[in-house]
Amino acid sequence: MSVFRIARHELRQAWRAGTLAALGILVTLLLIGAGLAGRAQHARDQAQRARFQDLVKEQWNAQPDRHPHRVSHYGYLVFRPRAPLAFFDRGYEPYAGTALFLEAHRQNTANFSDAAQDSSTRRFGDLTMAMVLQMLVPLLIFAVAGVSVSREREADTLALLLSQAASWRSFLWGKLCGSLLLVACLVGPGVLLVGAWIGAEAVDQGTSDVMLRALLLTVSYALYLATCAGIAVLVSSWHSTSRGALVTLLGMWLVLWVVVPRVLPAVATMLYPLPSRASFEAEVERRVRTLGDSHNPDDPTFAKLKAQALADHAVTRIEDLPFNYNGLVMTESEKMTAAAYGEYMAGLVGIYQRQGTVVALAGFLSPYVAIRTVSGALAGVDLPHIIEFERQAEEYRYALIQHLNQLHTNEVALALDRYIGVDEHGAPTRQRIPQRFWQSTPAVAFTTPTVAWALARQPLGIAAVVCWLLLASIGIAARTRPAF
Amino acid sequence: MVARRIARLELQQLWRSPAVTAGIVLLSAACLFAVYYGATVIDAQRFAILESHALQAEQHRATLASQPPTANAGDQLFYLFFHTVHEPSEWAPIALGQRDVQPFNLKIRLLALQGQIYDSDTGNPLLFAFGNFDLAFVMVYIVPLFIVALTHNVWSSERELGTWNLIQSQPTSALSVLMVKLAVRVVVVLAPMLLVLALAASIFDLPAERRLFAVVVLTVLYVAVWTALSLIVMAWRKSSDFNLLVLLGVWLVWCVLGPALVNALAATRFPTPEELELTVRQRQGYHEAWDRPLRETMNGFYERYPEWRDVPVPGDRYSNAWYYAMQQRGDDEARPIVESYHATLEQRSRWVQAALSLSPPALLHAALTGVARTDLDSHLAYLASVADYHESLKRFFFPPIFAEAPIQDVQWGHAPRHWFRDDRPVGLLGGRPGLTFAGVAVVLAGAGAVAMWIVRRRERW
Repeated sequence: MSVFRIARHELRQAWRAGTLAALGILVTLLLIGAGLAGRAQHARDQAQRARFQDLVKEQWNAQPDRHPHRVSHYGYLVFRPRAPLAFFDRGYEPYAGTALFLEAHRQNTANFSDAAQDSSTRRFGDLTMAMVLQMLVPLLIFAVAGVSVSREREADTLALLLSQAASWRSFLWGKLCGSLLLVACLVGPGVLLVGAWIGAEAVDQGTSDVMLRALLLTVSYALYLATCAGIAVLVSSWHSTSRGALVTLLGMWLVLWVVVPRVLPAVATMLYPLPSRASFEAEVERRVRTLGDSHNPDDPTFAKLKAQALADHAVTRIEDLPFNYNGLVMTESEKMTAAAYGEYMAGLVGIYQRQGTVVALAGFLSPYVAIRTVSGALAGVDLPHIIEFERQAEEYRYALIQHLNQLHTNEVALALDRYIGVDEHGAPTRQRIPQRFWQSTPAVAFTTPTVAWALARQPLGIAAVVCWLLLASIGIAARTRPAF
Repeated sequence: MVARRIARLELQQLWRSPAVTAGIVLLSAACLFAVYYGATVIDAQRFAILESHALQAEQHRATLASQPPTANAGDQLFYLFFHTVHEPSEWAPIALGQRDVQPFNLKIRLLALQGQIYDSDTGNPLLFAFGNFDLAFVMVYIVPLFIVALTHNVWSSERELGTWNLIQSQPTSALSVLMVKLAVRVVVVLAPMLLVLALAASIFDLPAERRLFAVVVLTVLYVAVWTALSLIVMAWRKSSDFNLLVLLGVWLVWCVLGPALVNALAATRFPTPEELELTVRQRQGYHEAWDRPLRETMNGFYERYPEWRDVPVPGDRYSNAWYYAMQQRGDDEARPIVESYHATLEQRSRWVQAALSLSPPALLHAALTGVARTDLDSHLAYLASVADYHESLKRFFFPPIFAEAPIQDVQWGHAPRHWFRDDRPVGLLGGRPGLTFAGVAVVLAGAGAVAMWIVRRRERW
């Protein structure tokens, strides 16, 4: 009997039992529901953030004549754009901040994470298409394919089959193919739908990178679900009763899909604890304090800078310098504080990344964690993407503030760089410079990293997914040798 | 007498099964680890709180010492951070809830409040997304699976093994045999839970009051819910495999799908664009003031603080009175949005609670985080207390600010301090979610009893 006939038999049996159709419809409905909810939320958030980002830009351009340092405290607000495929997999986005205030002298962190504003039910997780595929579909595969071999053994049809020309080898491969076909029937309609949807979305957004991400997502999920089917057939072949096979698979699902992912944060935090925000910021502030006070032009730390500037221009008083010395102090001090923040932030990000490595390594323990890592990277919602957003925001902040400090140095006269009276509106003020300067500042623009960049940052996750696939294949190949 | 013997036999049988003993050991280990992990998280927070007192003292000292004592005190207030404390309740380690993602140790300056209270503490979103392994998790997720594993085949396995006919031929009522077997199995799961709770109560010094009572009752009710469910499924008189699959299906819907669906719907139904809007408004409201007449800004300020109307503020130069009045303008501009923001959050939380009636496990979780004071309600109460504190700081520092007093004239040590602990009285069974849960539990238990009654009549026991 050929592999093909055994596979067909498997499929037919499942079809007759009626469970396949019922579960297939259930999965498809869940995928559609999760997709619709995700899509609506995604579009709304995206529009909201874009609207407020535009408003911030308008307000920036509409600023009246102002003193440049005033403007660097006015700063800029950025809202983290949602990743293009976040409607498929929300990943870690709900737990990352949304709004980030960029200002002089300090690096803020993004605030208003979705999760922090929610009741504790949030921790039960989100219903997304990714969640359905990562968590529920494997469970269904286990339930359906887990009995494939053991059932034949239980019904004593196995011996019959094997005596009738079918080799144990072709029987097992046939069961695997049958199970893969089962999986295809189970999730096929849903996956096609999701694929078409993501594809349409990608075409809409018009970038080949998003399309490539969508394609790779489809491939990874296909491999993942095939792995699950392989595991199910393998476990089934080890057991003499369907009940035994089912119990083993359900237990495995419970441990690897439910318990291990929850234990992970505990392990990662115990291995690599984070400093509290208060102590982290105190640390940075201690360092910054040693750098001197830029708001005080007579600060001793800046004496060297002053001597250098005076010597360079062969003058004896800062009033004789061809530029505004206060602006120079601001520029210098921003450079120093940014470096201090950068150093400590790098330390913090280092801890995040080490914790991330613990999670990625756990992918070798749990296929669920493995696919989650890869899916997050491909959807653009994993830790590296979140860190990259903050990096780009800081890059923009630094350039913006230094640009304003440049204006401070070159456009504001030292003599007028103090409160000189009241402006035409009746507000006490220092010298103001014309608003055209704000209008010519480049607006913030974030670039989503490419898929190659994303994958290069999750080598362990990819290795884990591949490893599980190989493990299941080798397991089945090894299992085909001895009969029974 | 007979019942006791059956119970002892059943217990012996369970004890001899390696799977059962291993399971109970694992469950106990999971509970202990969960308690330990919860304690480490909350201890780290307590430590951070303790440390923050020292950090504040250090920062104030360093800032003030860098200036001559005659320097303007108001100028220094720009730099000074005041730490606030949301002290965790004794119960927090049991149900961590949102305690890890919500800030508990915000530090604020005298500047506009709305730009300062939505910062999160340091934390890795990657880890948050996986959820916490606390006792509430073990109770809500894992315990039902043990109950299902132990009870789904109480009757069916006897039938499948052919021993049921034997039992029926005995003089003892078959129903009572079944019930004793079931009771033994339930106790086997419940006992470690209650032991761990007792242990936790002694470790964390939990007072024997309403909350302890609530948690114990909720635990027992939760076990009752799953046992009742098992009875209902049992009444169909199907195979063990069928019972197992149905019960696991219910678990999946109640513990995984249902709450996730509620979350998705809540997020769709109650968007909060206010969070972005209030941020934009606060920033704009404050910074615009720099370009507006000083008098206008001051008049806005006097509407809230009329007692300062008669104190002169220089009109032709910078002064801190004007500066903090401008900051006040930022908060005033954001106020209506802040109110609607908080109203939306509360509305959403209420809606979620109502929707959870469909998922007893999520309801139990909400009740436990309510008892532990680690939910959104407590966080919002903390934020409100931070706002009050900000107000009291302003009132404390306005006199030196308006008087342009030197550093040496300010009683820095007398500045108000913040400390918040959610001491609102705990309702019966932890309040609404607990009561709703109890209601659902009673209904299910009733349904279980009815199912058994029907079986009894049908089987003529």
